[in-house]
Amino acid sequence: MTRSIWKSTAPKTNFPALNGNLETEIAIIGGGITGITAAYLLARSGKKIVLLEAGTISGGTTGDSTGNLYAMVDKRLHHIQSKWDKETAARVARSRAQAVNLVEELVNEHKIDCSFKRVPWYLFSETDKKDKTIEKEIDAAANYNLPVEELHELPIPVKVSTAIKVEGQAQFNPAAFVRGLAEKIDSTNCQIFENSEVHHIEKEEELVLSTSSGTVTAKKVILATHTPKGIYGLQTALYPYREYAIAAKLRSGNFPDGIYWDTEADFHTSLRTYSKGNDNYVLVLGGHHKVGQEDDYSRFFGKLEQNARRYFDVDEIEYKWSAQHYKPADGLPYIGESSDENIYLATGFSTDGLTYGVLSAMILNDQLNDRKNEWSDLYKASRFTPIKSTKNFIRENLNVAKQYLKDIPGKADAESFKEIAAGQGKVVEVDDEKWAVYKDESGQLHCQSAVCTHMDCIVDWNDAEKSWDCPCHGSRFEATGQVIEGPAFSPLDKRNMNPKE
Amino acid sequence: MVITAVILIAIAVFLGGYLLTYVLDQKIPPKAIVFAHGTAAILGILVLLTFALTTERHHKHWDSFIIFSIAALVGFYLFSRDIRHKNVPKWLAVVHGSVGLGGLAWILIHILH
Repeated sequence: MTRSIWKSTAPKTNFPALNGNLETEIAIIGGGITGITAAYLLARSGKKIVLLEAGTISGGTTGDSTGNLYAMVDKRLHHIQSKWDKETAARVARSRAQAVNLVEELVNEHKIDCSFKRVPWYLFSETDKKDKTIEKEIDAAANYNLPVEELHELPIPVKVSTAIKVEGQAQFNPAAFVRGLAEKIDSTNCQIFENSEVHHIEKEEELVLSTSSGTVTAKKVILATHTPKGIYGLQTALYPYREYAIAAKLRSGNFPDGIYWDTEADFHTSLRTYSKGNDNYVLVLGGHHKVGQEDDYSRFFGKLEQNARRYFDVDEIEYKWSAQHYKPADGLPYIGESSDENIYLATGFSTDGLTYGVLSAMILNDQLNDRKNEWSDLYKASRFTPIKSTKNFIRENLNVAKQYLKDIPGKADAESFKEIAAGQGKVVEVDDEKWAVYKDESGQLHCQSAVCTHMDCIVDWNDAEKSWDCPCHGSRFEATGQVIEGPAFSPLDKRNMNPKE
Repeated sequence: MVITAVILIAIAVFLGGYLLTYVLDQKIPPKAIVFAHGTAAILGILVLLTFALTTERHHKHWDSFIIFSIAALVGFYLFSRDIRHKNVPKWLAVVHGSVGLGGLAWILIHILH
């Protein structure tokens, strides 16, 4: 069973579930860093807010993230510069730095115990193959007034060819920050509900959000759900990927603070430290792949462990987890009003979601208070950038078409339920329909349709997370069919086991 | 060219008949077949349009083109519902299939006549 170090170590919140019908100015769906920071800022400005979280606060992607905050971006600033221009890349760096500053201000103002600290960020190449990438990033960072330095050795036991160091970035425990901030939100203006999953949004004159135990009627809605819930054209410009992480407890060794990114493209490893009491951990992350398109998901943890043991004196791997991210078609996130009037979204953060989540909250706070925000045009959700998006758009949407074409009659993972081992799931064809069948540890079968309730792709069994993952737009479902994340609103359709088998 | 169009449309009609069994059984049709059906139909209609615009023959098959275009429009509607995981109305699927099959019979009669 996977579990993230952040979710496991941060104090829990205890907000009630929605019970009844409420009216409000702004409803926020999602209690991660975007939703909670937006709720905090909007409530502080006097807006009436209701926030609905399907599970627990910071129980989704925020709690599964790296805990790194930085001005740079996953795709590198020089990529943004070449795809857009120097000014755009500079604005990305400036806006992200401002978001990191806001986190620091909130931590200090409310004394949130989340291990926030300023640390340097390093990008390194182990061989000279990637020296050019480092050189480009040094040039780019220098353009944006980032305190940049070129190095040829790191303070960690990894041999490098070239490295870049940028001071003044930050790390924290994201779950502790978000849960801590949630407790500090002005409760006269904001009501927070946990375990209140929205399963439908009725788009009338006002927006009516339905949960199993009540409704919220709002003038405006923020979808702080990582990717917008439901069907949006924007989903053709959002590409779901997963990444893996382990927290390895160190037996010995001194590992200085910092965010360490390896440029080697095949596994894209990043490293950081974290201390809990007297225990020191090194966190190793990497292994990007498209959601729902692998045969063996657990192997990524094995490779991360191998990397950790290569450099450090590892005692044991205490935590392992994985997280999802959505790459945007043109390299920048989509933040602002969606194609549906009065519904706002913040998505396409790639692996830079903690910083972009806070930045989204800042932008949405200004927009919903009718104030001008200097970054809102840069990240406008309704922008149309065909030239910058075409390559990714074609490649990724052809990939989606390919996933649909895999839905051929007679083709399934297993021919009968007997082939499914305990704790495993397989797609089985039953009466000309594809079923997602999970056999739990006690041997009981859980049957549901394998057709994703978002846009009808066939889901794939994820052995690492024990989930059904949709390879088209990234919806994920528990082994028993309930929605975990992604654009799908509804659980997988239940199927009754056919005694004929 | 008309023969090519007829072959493509005949493939679309055959696959459509298979998909109709899913709709009538209230099952979710396999998407590979849905895409193959749609692609064959669109290509068939495009070939028929190209024929109509380029031929010097008296009968340009505009009547068949219109019949297949109506079937295609209904098909797009049905697809848009199916892909959004919404119920596909059985009666409309039957109408769609009947128009497509009728169009195929109509064009065959004219070709063989």
